[in-house]
Amino acid sequence: MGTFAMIDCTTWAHGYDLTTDLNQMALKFDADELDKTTFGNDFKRRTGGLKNVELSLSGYYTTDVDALQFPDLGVADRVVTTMPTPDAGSVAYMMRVGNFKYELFDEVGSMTPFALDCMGSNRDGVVRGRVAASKATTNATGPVGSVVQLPAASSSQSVYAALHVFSPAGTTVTVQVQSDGAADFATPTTVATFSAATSTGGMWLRHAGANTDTYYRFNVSAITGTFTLAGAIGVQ
Amino acid sequence: MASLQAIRDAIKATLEGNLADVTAYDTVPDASNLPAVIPIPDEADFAVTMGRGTDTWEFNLYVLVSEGEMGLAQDALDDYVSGAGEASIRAVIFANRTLGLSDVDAHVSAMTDYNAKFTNSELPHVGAVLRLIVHTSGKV
Repeated sequence: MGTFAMIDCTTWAHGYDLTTDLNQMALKFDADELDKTTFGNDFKRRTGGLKNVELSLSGYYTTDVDALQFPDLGVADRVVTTMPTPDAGSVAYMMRVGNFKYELFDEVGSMTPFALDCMGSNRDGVVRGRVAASKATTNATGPVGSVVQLPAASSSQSVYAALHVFSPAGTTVTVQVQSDGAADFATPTTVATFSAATSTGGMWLRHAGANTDTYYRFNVSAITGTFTLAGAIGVQ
Repeated sequence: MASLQAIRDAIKATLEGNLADVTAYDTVPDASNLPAVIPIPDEADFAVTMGRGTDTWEFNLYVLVSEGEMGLAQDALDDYVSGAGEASIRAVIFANRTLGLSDVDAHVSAMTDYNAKFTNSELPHVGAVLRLIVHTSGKV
């Protein structure tokens, strides 16, 4: 993808798709700038310290948004995935955040706005992965979404996955992350399995260790009812 | 989402259902029965939110009365554009902001014109233009 207009930037927040409620978003990464300059240098020397992720979202108030965000104030580790487009294979930024600021209302006559300031709340930080399942409905076992190609994981890396279960949710669904050495998934390996989901929400998975496979997908191993799912997978 | 046609139909139904003696139109008529209200789309914003989540339509509501006797005509027009009273278009929209649709929010934001230069079927009318802003979902 080349340059593009921000018209379909997508944000899945826990068990709710905020996309069509938002008109502005900013995802900021930074690292502490640690000065290590000593005598004998002509220029300052610096090194990177602790990293941080912040996500600012703003848009137009609905009762659905408020019902989700008002009770979530200060709650840590909500799974959020945000991406330039919701298409399978699109870059996706996956993180667990706390919503630490929630603002409402503006001047008379304007669209009723809201604004959220979220910050990373988990040591996993932010993962740059790929959309492996665009938002879609499923009621059957088997692969869901699309196969995405990711780097092989070294022994110091992990496979991460974010899964969002939207309303209306069925009775129960169990989703696996599978990998293979080829795109046709002739001999898939189950990397890890999410806990069974029984309601709307966001789920996070981290599987540490090397994996030479470079193709990944989601697979529904058990399902009762109909679920609307979306998710992303990343290696870092 | 509410289509443009559905919104225009809803404007007509809302005004005719709440204003006595007014003929509201959904589209521009060849000839209008006065007093009349005619909604004409003027501007639209389709990039209100991500993913085509919201459309904002801005209508000009042409409020036309007969110019038979200029004083009476202006008195009648004043009642239609005032904020309260049995003939208040603004009060009707304020009290029926959904226009009877499931995903619509409407309000009258301004009056942008008021004069005796309006014509329909080559007949001169006294009239005013109210700005009606309608927000609706941009997709299903």
